[in-house]
Amino acid sequence: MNSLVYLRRMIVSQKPARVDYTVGSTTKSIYYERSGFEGTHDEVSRKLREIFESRSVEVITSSDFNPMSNKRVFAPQAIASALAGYTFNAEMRASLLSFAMRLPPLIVRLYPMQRYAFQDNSTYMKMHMMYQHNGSLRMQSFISQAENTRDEMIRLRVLMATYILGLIAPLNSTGGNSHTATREMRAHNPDGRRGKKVSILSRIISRIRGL
Amino acid sequence: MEEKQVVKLVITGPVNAGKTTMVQNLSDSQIAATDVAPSDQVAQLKSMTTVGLDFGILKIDEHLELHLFGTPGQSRFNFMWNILSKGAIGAIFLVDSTSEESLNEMRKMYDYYEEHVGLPVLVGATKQDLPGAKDVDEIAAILNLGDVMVVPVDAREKEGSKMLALTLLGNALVQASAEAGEDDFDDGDYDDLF
Repeated sequence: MNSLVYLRRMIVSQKPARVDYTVGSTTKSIYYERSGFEGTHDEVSRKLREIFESRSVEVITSSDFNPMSNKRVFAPQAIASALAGYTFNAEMRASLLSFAMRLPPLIVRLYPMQRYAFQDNSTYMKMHMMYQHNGSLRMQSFISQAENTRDEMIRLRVLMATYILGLIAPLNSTGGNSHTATREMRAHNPDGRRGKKVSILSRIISRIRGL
Repeated sequence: MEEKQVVKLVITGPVNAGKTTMVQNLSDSQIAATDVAPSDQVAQLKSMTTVGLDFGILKIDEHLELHLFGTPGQSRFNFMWNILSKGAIGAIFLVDSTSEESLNEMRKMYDYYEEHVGLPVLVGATKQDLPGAKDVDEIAAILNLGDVMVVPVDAREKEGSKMLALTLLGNALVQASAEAGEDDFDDGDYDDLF
């Protein structure tokens, strides 16, 4: 599932980039800039699906690209569209399940995906509720609670969307469930201004949960 | 001796949406509430309204306090953002789902906020149980909120206040976490999933 990792990092970084990927023996590309993918709605959806399934993906960041057109599809809309009705074979399913097993406890961001016609929004809401209820999300549990094969596929699509768009992040790296002293050391590290912000937010969340 | 750190959470929005109650719900103790009997059209909505600000403190641990500010619900108080936004982690807007006037006022307040403040923000739609309440999608469309979430909330319930605050903080946390990891983008090491 390297393609998901690459897409996520590219979208989160918000830097202009070109994704090169291989389908069969052909190498294709898609440009990303200003938070959107270059191309028409249909082109972007098709290419993203190809990227999901490609075994060879590379992201090149540069500000010197010359995109072919001015058409852009905003990343959440592009991902929602690519995942609409997206089905996968047993191999892809196994890869996604294996990917889910590797994920640490997570925090989940609530984002208005329904405004981008994300068809699996209600399952995303369930995921967020599970996170709110427990204070962290175990993706393994979320997937294993699927009621049937169709529901499992929907949950895996929600995993893909939230991961790629940066709507989930590891709880551990934020210090959310680490020892207080460790969190305080992180908070006081002069190099880690962002880490400090993360630590502060984590501590406030823990406190409010306990109210 | 280590200094105590203070961060702010601002709870704002049009009048009569539940801001004072939310500050109370999230504070260890409410330090100040500057409620008076209103002299303008607000008198038709409620007997007391906030003219200064509500202020409460939630002690997080020995070194950290969250200061909660409930700001007056009229756009003429927008200037207060200059002071309140310093050291703030985000803002919660509460809006009365049943009131056109509340939504109009909210639009003015949010325009100012978007242009001048830009902290993580979440909108809580209160009074969803009352007849004539607009649903959250309608409210988001009327207010033209872009990517800002509108969440239904019963501001009278402590759990509702907690849920709203936790949603805002969770969103801010994912964003901060992503920004913290962003510097690693070009290191060529993709073993780590994040």
